[in-house]
Amino acid sequence: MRDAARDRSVIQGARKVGLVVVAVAGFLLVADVARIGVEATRGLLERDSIAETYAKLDTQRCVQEKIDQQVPPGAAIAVRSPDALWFERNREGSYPRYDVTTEARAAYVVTVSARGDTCDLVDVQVSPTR
Amino acid sequence: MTAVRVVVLGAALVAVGYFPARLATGSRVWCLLVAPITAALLAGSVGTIGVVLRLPAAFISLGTVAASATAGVVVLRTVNRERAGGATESALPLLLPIAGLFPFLTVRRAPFEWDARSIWWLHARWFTDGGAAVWDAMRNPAFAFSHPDYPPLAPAANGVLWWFGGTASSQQAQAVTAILTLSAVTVLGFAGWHAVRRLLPAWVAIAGAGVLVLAAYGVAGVGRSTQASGTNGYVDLLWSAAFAAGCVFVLAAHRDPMALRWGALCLAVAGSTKNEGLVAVVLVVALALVRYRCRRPAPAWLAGALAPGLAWLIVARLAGADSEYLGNSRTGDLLRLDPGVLHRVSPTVDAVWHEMAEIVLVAAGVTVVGLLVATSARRRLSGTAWPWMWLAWLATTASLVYAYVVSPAPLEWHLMTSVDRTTIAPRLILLAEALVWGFAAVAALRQDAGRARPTVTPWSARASSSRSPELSP
Repeated sequence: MRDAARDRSVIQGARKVGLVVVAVAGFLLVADVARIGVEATRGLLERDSIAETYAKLDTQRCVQEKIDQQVPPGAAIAVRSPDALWFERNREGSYPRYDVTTEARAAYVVTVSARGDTCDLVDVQVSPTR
Repeated sequence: MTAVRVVVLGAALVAVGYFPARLATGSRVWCLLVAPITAALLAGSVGTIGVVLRLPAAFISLGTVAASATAGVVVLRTVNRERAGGATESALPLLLPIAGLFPFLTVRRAPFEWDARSIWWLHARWFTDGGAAVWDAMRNPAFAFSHPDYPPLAPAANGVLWWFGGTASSQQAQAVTAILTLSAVTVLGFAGWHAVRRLLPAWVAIAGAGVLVLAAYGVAGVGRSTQASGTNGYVDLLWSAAFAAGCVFVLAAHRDPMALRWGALCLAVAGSTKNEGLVAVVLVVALALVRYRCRRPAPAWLAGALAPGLAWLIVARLAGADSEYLGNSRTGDLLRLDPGVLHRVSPTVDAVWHEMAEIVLVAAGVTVVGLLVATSARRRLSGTAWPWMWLAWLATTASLVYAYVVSPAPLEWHLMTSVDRTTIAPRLILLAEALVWGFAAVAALRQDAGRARPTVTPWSARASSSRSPELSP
């Protein structure tokens, strides 16, 4: 009789430990990922980190302005670049100012080649197709 | 972008989405949380009609507002009936967005990120120019790089707001996408709170839900310390959080009509935001139909969850948009056991596992121990101890691995550029599951303590008296 009671007590104790483990582990898992989010956010909000993003945006705008200076508004253009960044950035950046199309239909071909990350190291060449 | 402008944008999204959200969820207060993404879902749905009929931008923008106003009229006509039968809603969940405010501050970073510009804001500019412009752009080979078949929720929402504002500001689009993401993440926290609210003290449930909100941003930020994935214009956290919330509502909460309605709305948002979201939603809808045993009204609501995403899929195919999933997939090669495709399986599984291993192992441990010691409490929380959320995780992960294996893109590049984002959804499912098990364990401990103090009202009696009606026994 006493053994049965002791067994029941041991099982109940083990169950209680199990419940505490599940509660603590379940919460800690989520809390740990939340902590990572807070740490990442802190880094992303540092002044230098934010300034770097604006420098990249300025470069993108500057390269687009180089295109705008050489191509009349509304013209049909095709964008060429060996660099995926400038290939995509100047195609999307040219819409809707220009009719972005394939080289077969374009009036101008815009070739963007980058020797570095800053605007002065990105060359833009515009040539009429006909 | 000033803080005032962000607040005004948020208020506009809540205003447009409030009545449709209230109509869909049947909630008067809690629907404020889901209103922004409901507004975007509405814009995406009206946008889909505008594209297929090639209607001007004014139709998409004014049509979205008109649809919202129509929902308002329907709600106001039935308001008296609701008052008579409706229960009081706690305002506590309205605190949940505060938990996401710190990560939200990263919206101050410049709007320059790759996919945000190449995909989401470019598509938004198409929507600002009207349905015919979207249709033509989807067929334009010069825009093939932009995944023109991607769903319209975020682009249409930004397109509509740009149309009304008369500007195409990237900074505004970044803020709007961040607000939509905050709404989705908040609804994930709310889903956790909703599942456990009757069995735990309010502060425990809301604190746990708040940590889940913050953790969702953490999942999106893991391994990408140079990108603010929840606020940089990407939509991966947006669809993933809406999807995980939908999973909690339809797979981890009690089978009640309210959970079904909330779940369907969240899944509709996920399926209209990104292609992999739609695939995952199809799988979870199948699981939910089994869980609800296809009993009414589950099939209607779950079909409704699929409708906007599937409608867009058809429109994109009709327009002839290039699709990496449908047009260029190497499924045939996989079925022929082509070694070139089979060789992609192992590195894909390794990469996906690398992203998820810690969460999977801890969540699995929590679930196994939970099944041993807290099954009855979990049944009280969810109506079942069946591992539905694990099935959702398995289905979502399998669909993800399949997508990488049959993708025409070079595998190493494809994994390197996206696996951390595509695995957000399955990781959120497991975080929510671990938290629900944790809540179940706390509920069981409280029940044990209640039994030890016989003067206290039995916990089980309180729980059973306040539980919402089940759809089926």
